[in-house]
Amino acid sequence: MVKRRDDDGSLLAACRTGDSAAWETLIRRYRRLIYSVPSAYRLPVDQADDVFQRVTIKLFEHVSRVRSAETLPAWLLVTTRRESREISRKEKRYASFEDEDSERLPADSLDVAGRLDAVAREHAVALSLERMGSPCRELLTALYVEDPTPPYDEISRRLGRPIGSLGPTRSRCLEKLKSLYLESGISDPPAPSSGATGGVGPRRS
Amino acid sequence: MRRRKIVSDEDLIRDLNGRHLLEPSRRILAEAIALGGRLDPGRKGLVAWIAELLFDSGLAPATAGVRSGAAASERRLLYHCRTETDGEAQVDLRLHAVADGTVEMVGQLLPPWSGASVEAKSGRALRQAVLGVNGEFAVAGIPGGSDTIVLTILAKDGNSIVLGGVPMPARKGRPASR
Repeated sequence: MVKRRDDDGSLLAACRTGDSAAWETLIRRYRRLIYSVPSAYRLPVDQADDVFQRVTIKLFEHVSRVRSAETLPAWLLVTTRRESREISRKEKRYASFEDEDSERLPADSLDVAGRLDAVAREHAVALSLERMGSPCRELLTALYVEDPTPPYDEISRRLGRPIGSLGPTRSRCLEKLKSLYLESGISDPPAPSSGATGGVGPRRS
Repeated sequence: MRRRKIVSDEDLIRDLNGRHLLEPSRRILAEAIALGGRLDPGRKGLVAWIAELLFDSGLAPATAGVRSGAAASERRLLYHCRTETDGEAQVDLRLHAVADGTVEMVGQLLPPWSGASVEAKSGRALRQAVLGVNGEFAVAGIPGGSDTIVLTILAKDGNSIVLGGVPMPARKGRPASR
């Protein structure tokens, strides 16, 4: 595979030369991964902010020493989990002092491990989607990310392709996405019993 | 990393939906991006100051005769900071919990950085001060609501020391943070 200039390794190398744009790209790329881990621990928004801040500072401090770009997502996950656990531990200690109605990040019924797995998987899939070219990225985004999902005729118009070609294109794009996802390495794919919801077909408006 | 090789379309589509992924606020994202402005091209790399907490009065054993867990409204901290090359510095901090719920921070950076400034951030509040000729500084009015303070010492040349988790002194009705 051709090495992209905005891959993590190139961005880290650019950071070492003082390239603030490369730093911004890295932060934007991993912002949702870092910020979503605290939600797995059901931390309030202000403490999720603290975790985000601590982790980005640690990344700033350590970016010159990251030996391999492949380890960056795992390093971020481990660091963010550690910071979240630390704050969660304090949160429990002070729980009786907290306001009953303090704002908390949304969380579902999965346990902490399940939510952490979901965050890691979803982020890996989102990064894989970003790496896809046209028209796959636009098609899969329209079908599965946009809310509400636009009607097929609108997608057809946007992509300049006949409606009849969208189904086969969608299948090819999903295969390509699957391949990119398996190449990237941040977490295991989901286990079948992990509480999946939703079907294969696109959400229709 | 362990990896199963079979991923179903259902799994992919569910994860594309990304319902567990959350966006940070624009404010904290901007703060993180702003750190990039402190990258130092002159050194062909980051000025990475690694801070080590040498002393924390909040973790020290209680003095004989003093009840364990007694909340001290003053907390003393000493950090040793170093770079990967030969840079070394010490940051001495005293944090006082004030009756109005805020925290006052008095500190000294040694050796002093001429013309440097200091920023203390607690939650969304940011307080700033300028270092004196001997590296001393005082920052008042830091909100005591957070467990930690982010302290950044900024030199004129762009060099900076960032202490990401400076613990708070004890607040009324609570022990000091650890």
